[in-house]
Amino acid sequence: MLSGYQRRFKAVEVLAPSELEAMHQGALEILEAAGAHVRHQRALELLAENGCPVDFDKQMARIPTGLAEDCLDSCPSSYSIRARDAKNDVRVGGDRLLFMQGMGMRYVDPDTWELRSATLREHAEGQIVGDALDSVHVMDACFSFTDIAGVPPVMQQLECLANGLRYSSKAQHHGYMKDTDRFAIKMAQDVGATLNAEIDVAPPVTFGGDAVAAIMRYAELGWGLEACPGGAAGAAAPASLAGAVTQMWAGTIAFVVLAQLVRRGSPVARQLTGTVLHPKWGHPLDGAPESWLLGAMTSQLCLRHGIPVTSPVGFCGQAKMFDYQAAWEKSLGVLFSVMSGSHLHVLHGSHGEELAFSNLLQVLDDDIARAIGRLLDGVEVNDETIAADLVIEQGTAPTSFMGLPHTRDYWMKDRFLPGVADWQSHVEWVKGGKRDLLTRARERVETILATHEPAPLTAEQEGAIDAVLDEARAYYREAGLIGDEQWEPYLEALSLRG
Amino acid sequence: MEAGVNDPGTNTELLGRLKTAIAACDGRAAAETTERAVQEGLDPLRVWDAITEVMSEVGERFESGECWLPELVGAAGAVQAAAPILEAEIKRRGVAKAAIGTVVAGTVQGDIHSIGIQMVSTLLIGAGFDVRNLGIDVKPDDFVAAVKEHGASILAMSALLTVTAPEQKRVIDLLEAEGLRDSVKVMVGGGAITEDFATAIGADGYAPSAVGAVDLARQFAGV
Repeated sequence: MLSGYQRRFKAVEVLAPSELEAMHQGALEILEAAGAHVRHQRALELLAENGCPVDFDKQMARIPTGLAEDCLDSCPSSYSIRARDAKNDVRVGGDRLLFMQGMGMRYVDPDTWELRSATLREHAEGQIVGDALDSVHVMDACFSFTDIAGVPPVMQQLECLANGLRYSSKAQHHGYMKDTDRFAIKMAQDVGATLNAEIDVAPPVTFGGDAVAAIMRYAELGWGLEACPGGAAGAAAPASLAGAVTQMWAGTIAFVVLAQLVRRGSPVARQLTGTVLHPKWGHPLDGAPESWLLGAMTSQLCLRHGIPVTSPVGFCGQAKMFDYQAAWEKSLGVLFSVMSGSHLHVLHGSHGEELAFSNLLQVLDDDIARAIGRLLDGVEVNDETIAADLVIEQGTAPTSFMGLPHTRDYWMKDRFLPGVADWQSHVEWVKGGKRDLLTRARERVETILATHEPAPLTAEQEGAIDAVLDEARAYYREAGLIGDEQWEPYLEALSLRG
Repeated sequence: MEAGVNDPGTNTELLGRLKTAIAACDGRAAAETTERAVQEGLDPLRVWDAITEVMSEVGERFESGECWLPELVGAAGAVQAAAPILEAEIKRRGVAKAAIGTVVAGTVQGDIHSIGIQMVSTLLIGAGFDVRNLGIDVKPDDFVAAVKEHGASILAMSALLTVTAPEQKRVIDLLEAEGLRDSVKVMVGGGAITEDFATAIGADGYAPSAVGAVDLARQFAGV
């Protein structure tokens, strides 16, 4: 099992207990008075069978507080994601921090900073690099590059998950939409893995039919679910941060109720969705401190109710290049989020409001993840580390601790060293040709791609994945979601997979 | 007779133990093993060669990233524990070390930064130099006295602070005044020092790093 990092100190709290309780009560009131919009007949029936007043015509279900709190209580505070290789299994929750590969739509060219569709080969390389990095504990194959050239949209998640399973033996994250989760589940089962499923709740408190179908499928299996209630403050949620968090918390509780009614004990994590918007242009600002506060407030609610927290807070900001802005937006956002208690943090490779994904960023983010992991690991305090006797023995200046056994014991103990950032002296940097950060990142990616060999699938597993993909292609062609004009470019894209 | 454990001049087993002790930064074991080597009548110059060899190995491991600064300094500390015993024996026998040069090293007066000069000293020992590290906060008089006493061919001075850097010029001026300037090459380094500064104060050379200092010293020694 990959254990990730351990937070050795109390999570940062941004709300007073009375504020926390007031927001929780607000969410319960929303659910009891207004309810959830559930566009799924079977789910509405299930809610009605469990005491919810349901208006089937309007597809609205009001959720009594007793049921809501009972379901929150039956939600486990931690859960496992099984990887295709058991040594890479993870457990989400407790005081552990895991990092997950980031998501992004297109390939970003680091010379021109322009974006274009990625190829399946580039996607595969993203998986190889993620597999090689120790600070990536969970992969996000299905969302790293969501615009693959030539691949019909409905097959993107499945082709990417297949690539992820081929090129990484780590645990995988997945989504849903148009029944793709059915095929994804089968693929994972064929290689002995489970999936961590990210499922949206449209704001305010609305469940689409596809989303509910996926919640039901994953919950029946007992696999991890991530509730993602959207909530852009001032657009689909109140502009006040407390209001946005309260509305999203209502969506979270409704999600938990649905999952628990399908199967008691279903693991549900909350993904820290919700942002403030650009005051003029209206696009989400993941790099804004107010967005980070939304995450921290929600984390506090989750921890209070024993709900594991997955977090994309700060995973990408508004930077257009891999520059100073990108670094501060990511580092501060992610650090604040993990210090306020998130368990599974999205990070590696995401760029520019999810518009892009990059291997160079994966290795740069590895430095951020490991540095933050080191901070969470804290310090060891005992007589030996306090070393008062040693200080007394050494006396006052001039003296040096450098040659002492105590120094040799502790010099490198739990020390963080960057993989890409340059910690050489200025002199050595000049001597080495003044290589910049992106040059070093490129070199690290090239080294990984030249040397890292992910554990291969067995021939049987390869065959099973191919069979699921063939079945999905036939299903979606039949359903008219892969048009004839898309078929030839699709085959060509597959032939270039490498 | 083949050199080996029964050869009182070399005793490879004992020399191996000495090297192990130094590599493990164990000053007490290094001193005890050296003491025993002297008692058993080992050739002190051969013992010194063993020390040079192991310090060279430690220096290489440091350069390649296999060991870190405390190991480098710890190994030098072990050598410092063994050296007086060995030097007394060398003196008693009236022989001379086959070092490629004698270096007097230290951090200038007013400056208590020790790491840089320790690194330089360690790597110079590994490179075959006989190094007299005077430590930190060294007065100009003490530098000059040591150069005289040990017949040093190289003087290596460090200064980390801009405020202490001019001390290096005071030492050079004193060497001039004492008529020693032509007999000793002066190399300077440390965070506050630049090539231009070194030239301006009349030093013979500047090295920006410990490894660079060794290259410079070897250049001065003609090797």
